[in-house]
Amino acid sequence: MTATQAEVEASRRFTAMYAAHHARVYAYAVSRAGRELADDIVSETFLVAWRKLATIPAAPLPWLLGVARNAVRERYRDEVRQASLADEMRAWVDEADADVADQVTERAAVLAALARLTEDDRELLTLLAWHDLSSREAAQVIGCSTATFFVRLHRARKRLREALSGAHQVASRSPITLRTQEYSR
Amino acid sequence: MSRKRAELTMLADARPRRLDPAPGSRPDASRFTAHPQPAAGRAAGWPTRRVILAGVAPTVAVVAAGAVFLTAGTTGGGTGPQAGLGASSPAVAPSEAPATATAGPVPRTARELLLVAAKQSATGDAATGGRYWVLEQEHGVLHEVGPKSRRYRILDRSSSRLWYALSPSDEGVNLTRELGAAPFTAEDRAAWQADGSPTQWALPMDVPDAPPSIVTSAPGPEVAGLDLSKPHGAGKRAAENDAPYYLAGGPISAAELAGLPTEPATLKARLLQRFKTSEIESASDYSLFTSAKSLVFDLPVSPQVRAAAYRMLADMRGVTALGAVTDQRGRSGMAVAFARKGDGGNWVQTRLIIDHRTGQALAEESWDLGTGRTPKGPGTFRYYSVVLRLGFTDDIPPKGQTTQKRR
Repeated sequence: MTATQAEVEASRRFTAMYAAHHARVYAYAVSRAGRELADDIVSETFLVAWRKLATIPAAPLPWLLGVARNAVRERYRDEVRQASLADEMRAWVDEADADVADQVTERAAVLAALARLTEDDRELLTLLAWHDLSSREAAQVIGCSTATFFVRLHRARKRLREALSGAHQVASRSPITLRTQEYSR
Repeated sequence: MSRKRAELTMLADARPRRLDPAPGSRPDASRFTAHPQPAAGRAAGWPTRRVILAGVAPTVAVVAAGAVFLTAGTTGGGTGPQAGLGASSPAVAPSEAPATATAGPVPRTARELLLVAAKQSATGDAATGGRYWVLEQEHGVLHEVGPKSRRYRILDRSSSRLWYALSPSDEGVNLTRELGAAPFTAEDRAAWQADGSPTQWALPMDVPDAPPSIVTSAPGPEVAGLDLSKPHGAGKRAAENDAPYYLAGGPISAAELAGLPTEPATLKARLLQRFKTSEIESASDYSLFTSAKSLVFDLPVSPQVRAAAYRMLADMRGVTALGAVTDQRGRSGMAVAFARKGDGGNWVQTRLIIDHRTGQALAEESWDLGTGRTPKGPGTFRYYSVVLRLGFTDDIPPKGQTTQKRR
């Protein structure tokens, strides 16, 4: 229960894993629940990781994101999380709009289109595009087979394409208005 | 935009910067590692960090039925095992405590030893309450280092002084100190000299992208960590964290520990009940062994609960006797052991060294008994923890020499 030498060893291993993966777990938490709740989700994730350290696979990222995913789903009432996420996605578009770099319109348009997708589609796409996972790792996070993942990915990409063709005008005219019903299941 | 351009690439380019944490905002890992961790996880052994020992030096083999005792001559940094804990107040070593009964016949079996320990610990005159629960220990772990052509082992030692405040109005203390690493045996020392007598070693971590862990021969300062007796964490976590100890699958409070059964069968049933609701540990002979071990080794319980834990161990399958041994501090006791096949495929033996005259647990050791179908003794030493002070007290807690651990 207390600091035996084995725990010192465990502590070293945990600290290394934490340093290596904190930023990516944080990014996932922001993308799923918004900055407002992200710290709390990251905290919860790494506390579970510490307690289950012995069972964490050698490549821990998919495992960590799986734990974060459960924390996102179990920890908050849906309305609380959706409100935080709506704020977050608004901030993404604002940030992209305010950017003076090239491709600004495109970035804002992509983010606005993303916001119109269902939560499941969004998760699938961002696991690959933002969190830099392979399809196999992403399937692991979601807890489905790689084959199922590819089928769902194909559909999600199609829906993103469709949303993009409509989102261009929306994003260029006015800031998007997000309502909870639009993307909660 | 180009129709050809894949949506995923566009999406990747649009990745919001808000996904990145603010620089320097990452809380220190100690915020997590300060929490109690299940014993099963600690003892399982890391698959890729196995201590693989090429051969046991003859001098070690002779005493291997007991415990390896380092002589000061084998250490590099001048900090032999007797070097002590720096600023530690004079520790009351369990073996210095007066025996509470005249020595009876020497126990021959694990069961006899544990029943004697139960009797002695229940009749002792140790304090049964106080402002603090004190646990001071020294730890040592072996690492294999050096060039591929000639590997050698270093013993990496540290100390911990934990004072848990039992009243919310008091402050606890959590002091740890690296005592430095040194070649383990004379043979290791020769290989170390052939390696150019390095004073620092990088241990590769089995974590992708992680920097190696650095071990040095120089002792470090005593560092103050989180007060484990205070609830920490925000909101709904705080209530759970009000249970600063760990037993049988989950956190447990001092009050819950005080209410544990004093009858072995009931105690075992209580432990099994805790495993049932735990996501961290499940019931097994091994998890029952480590839980009972924790009750006699480091948890704040009454002498009656400790005696019940000893009696529970006496009736457990798989607990074997190793006879008279010496712990890493040179204190004599008798050992019981439990072996299990760890996740790395090695048999890992946990030894509990007990002073049968007082019933006090002196040390815990971990030994590697090979990868065979059955565990093969005497095995090779992996790590130890020795108890330097354990019990309730009203004394003034020590102060750390350094500032609070940052970040």
